[in-house]
Amino acid sequence: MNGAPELPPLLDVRGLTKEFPVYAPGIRRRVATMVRAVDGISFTIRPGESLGLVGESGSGKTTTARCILRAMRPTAGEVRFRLPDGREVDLAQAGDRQLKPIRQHAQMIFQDPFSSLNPRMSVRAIVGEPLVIHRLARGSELDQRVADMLERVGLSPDVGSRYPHAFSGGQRQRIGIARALIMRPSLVICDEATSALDVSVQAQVLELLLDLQREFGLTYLFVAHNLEVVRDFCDRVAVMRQGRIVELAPAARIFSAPEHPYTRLLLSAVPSADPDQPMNFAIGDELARIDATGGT
Amino acid sequence: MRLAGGGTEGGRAGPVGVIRGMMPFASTATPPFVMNGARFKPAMSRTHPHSPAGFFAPPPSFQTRSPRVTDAHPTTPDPRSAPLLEVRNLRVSFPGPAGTGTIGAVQNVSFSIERGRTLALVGESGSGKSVTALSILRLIHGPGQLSSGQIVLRSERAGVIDIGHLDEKSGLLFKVRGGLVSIIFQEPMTALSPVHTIGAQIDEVMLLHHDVSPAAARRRTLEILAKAGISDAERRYHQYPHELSGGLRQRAVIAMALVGRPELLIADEPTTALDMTMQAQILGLIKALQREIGCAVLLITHDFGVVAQMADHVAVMHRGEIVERGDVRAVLRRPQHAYTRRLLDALPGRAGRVATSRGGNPPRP
Repeated sequence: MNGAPELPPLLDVRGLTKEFPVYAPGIRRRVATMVRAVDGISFTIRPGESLGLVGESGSGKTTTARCILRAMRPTAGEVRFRLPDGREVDLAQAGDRQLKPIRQHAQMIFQDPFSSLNPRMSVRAIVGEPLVIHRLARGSELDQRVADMLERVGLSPDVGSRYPHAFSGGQRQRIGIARALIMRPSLVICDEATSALDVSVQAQVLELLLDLQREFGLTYLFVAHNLEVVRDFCDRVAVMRQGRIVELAPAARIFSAPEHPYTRLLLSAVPSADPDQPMNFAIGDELARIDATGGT
Repeated sequence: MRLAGGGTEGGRAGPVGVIRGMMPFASTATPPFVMNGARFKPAMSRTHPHSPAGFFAPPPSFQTRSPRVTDAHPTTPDPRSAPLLEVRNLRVSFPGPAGTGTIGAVQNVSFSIERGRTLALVGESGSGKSVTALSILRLIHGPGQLSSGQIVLRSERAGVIDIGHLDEKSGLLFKVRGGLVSIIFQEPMTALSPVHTIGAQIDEVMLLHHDVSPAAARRRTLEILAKAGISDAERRYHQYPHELSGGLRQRAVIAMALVGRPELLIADEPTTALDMTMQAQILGLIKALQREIGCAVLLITHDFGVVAQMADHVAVMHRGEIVERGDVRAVLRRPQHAYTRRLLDALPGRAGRVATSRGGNPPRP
């Protein structure tokens, strides 16, 4: 196991819940009902560990990620995050002023490398902006750190003056990674970071993320819908469905001996590269059956 | 299973707008088509690629601009046994940055697709697979151009068509696009009009390419929506694309592509924008409808997993060229080209890939 078991968790999520209002038709925007996107989930991540969070679209995995980074405020629950100096803060309760210095320790890599980069900022400005916002570097030191970071993610430092449109999807994702990692965060949330990429580019980006994890001692929460992607990447995997974690186990066990029927169903949807091992095309009916039986 | 207007589908080539009023006249003029359409079509279409069904149909020579169209394969004994689509030495080029000449996006690409079978075109982004697909529908627009090569469709309904040399305004090209060959794109929202209902958009295919009344088109649309796994088709018919989820939208696009019973379906990364469970369902749907309609499929993907599950044959593209092709089992089990092996190794879950890069880390429990 990557993270030593005796270390206290870097992130301790307890009973995290997020509800969204559903409005009644009409101009008064009366709240008709609340929909529970995340329903009281709990998990921990140890330092240096990679936890995969897997589920279909709509299962609540991105909402979970956003609540942890406080891009939105959870309805209930605790998000206990351990700062590098050993203090523990509950991100769910922290105010904006308290959050700002904490944000440099927890960063996000987004799915879509096309919409997550500002098209009117140069690569240098995009990658260096976090350092400017947190007043961590300026002038030639800023330039040097940006150049180092670009080189570290496999881009030539002299691409700094160019704009995002000049790069391919894989290169853009490297720019997004450079921006997320330039402050040396301890926790990095990858929200479908490789889902928009070709299989071969995806493999390269995954390798880069693993290299960076070793080098900087990063802890990953890796959100994905593709179970196969997290197979080699993560130490443990949590399977989410309809706002709840239905199974949380070491990656090897999820794949060799999945316990929950939904996990087995997700695995059967992975297209095998062996033509004689047909995938489960009838998965829609089986999902409906799991719903009917209550998912157990 | 025949279409509502099945008896006339092979024959009509006249202007669409006036057909309805002329229907009795048109059908009495060509009784063989109406009554024995399916049996007579192949024979008829070989002599007249788009045999006139009615009074208004222009003579074949008027629509067939290129003499090569019918002469392309004079020795072909039976169009049914020859491949449905044959692409030979296709080149598509785009002008490069000023002063650098042209970029060959597709270079000397040849392949063929058998009737009812599935060919997968695999490659990374930028390898030219989508450009190849678009050229089959002649959707390459300036500054890009189809600089050479042949694209021959041996249609059961419309005879042998050299798509590469059709005139841009020809009625035959109109018939190919969406009628004989239809396409599904990766992102369903770009394929659907945001200001028309799902039903109206699918009806339109039938109204444009088949000789049916609006009521018959509507019946056929509801039928295909149900077959595409859209429950409550009656309600969805009246909904707009933004009211549907991503999976439902892709189902609607598939329904739209297949409602006119095309002979070839091009699926350009049809599941890349969807999650795994939805991908499995959509691939299953394409397979089931392909079997029912009997169309061939050109499947474009970067995922060898999808290839293995769907294709009979595979062609691997790299930098505008096909570097390897063959039976799907042969290519997947014994890939000959280094690039094919690299793509296969990139599949997630392949032993050795990420494991080696983890280096000094101890194995996980």
